[in-house]
Amino acid sequence: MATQKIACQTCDLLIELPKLQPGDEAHCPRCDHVVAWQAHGGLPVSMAFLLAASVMYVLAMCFPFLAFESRGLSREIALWQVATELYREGMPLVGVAVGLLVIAVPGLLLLLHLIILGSVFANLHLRYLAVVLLRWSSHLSPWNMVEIFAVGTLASLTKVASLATVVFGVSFWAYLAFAVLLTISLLHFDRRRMWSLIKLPRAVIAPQSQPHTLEVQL
Amino acid sequence: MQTAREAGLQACHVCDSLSPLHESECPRCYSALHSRIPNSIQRTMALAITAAIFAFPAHLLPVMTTTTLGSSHPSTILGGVITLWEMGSYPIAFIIFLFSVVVPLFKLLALFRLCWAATHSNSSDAAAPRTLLYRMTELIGPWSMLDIFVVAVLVALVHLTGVMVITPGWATVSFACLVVLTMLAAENFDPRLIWDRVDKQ
Repeated sequence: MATQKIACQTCDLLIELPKLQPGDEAHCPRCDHVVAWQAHGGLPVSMAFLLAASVMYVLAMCFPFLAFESRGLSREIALWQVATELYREGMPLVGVAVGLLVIAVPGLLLLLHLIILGSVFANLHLRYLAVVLLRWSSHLSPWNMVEIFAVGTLASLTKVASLATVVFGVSFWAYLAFAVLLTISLLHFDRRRMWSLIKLPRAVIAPQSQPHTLEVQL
Repeated sequence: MQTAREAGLQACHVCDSLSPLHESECPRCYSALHSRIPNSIQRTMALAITAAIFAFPAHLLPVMTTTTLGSSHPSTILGGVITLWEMGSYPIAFIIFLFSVVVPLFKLLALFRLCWAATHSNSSDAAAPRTLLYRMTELIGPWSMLDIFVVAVLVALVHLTGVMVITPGWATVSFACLVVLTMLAAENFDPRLIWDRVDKQ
């Protein structure tokens, strides 16, 4: 495979990217930013973890999340109530934000990636749809906060553990598993490879240039 | 060494493909192309200053009110950290303090520092550490939401009418705005501006 020319995203240096082996990480020779990496598993591993994550997402949405018991009274909540209760208690903006960051964005990312990866493995060439889905995926990724919510839930439990008995629901364990599985799936989702599968409709004429050769760090 | 701009090229910020400078739309993913983020410093500064203003209500107003058997106890973010410390939950107190107080403050200072560096500094040795500072600001950005999630779980879970109820305070809105605004500010900052000043010399 021929080398690929890219520009470093942080310092704009023109780089000749060599063929990477699994586990390789390519650093920019000027600013040391990781310009490309090759995961060990790649797309099949991303798909496997994604399928497992989608099962966990469904379980997390269908079963009770946590229960709280004190002085003979008890309360049980579902995952989505974490957002709706804030809304009901007079903080609608924060409720919407939590609902988006914790439930909607991760769920949407899951769906987008299932369609994109599914189409790759089924040999469907969805040119326009794939472009739209990949663009949404890169815009949504920074707003996916599953792992932060998982840590936040654990932190809040230490606050109430001394006040009352907390019972963990199926949804709680499923959400923790979902957070881990989705994070691993996203790490293995090779955007550069995905974009390279989409062919350019017309040739791009590059002006004369001497790209800098790049050293690969193992 | 040659930059993409010197070679007459620009990289797409979504799909990373290179196009000639005169193109306004990426031929592969149809995103709008620009060699540098337009008005990057102005946008970053505007968002960071707004975020800094939100930091005051976020820390001065109560983040949640605990009502136990009829008596209400509002608590601020720092107050919550102190209560946790006194209860002996040192690791959690430390984590909440780190992500709610230290990280937002660090992010705001880093953003102002980066904007200053991209317009005033000519030091070529400092460009690499500043790029690292930018990467760190981007990476730790969303982790400040931690305290909001803690409050969200507590409000939903602890609701035994007559015994104990936790209600969210106005600091949650200010704090969520603070986090989202700093994330947008970091997204609008273009680290290539720092390197452009190095290239000019």
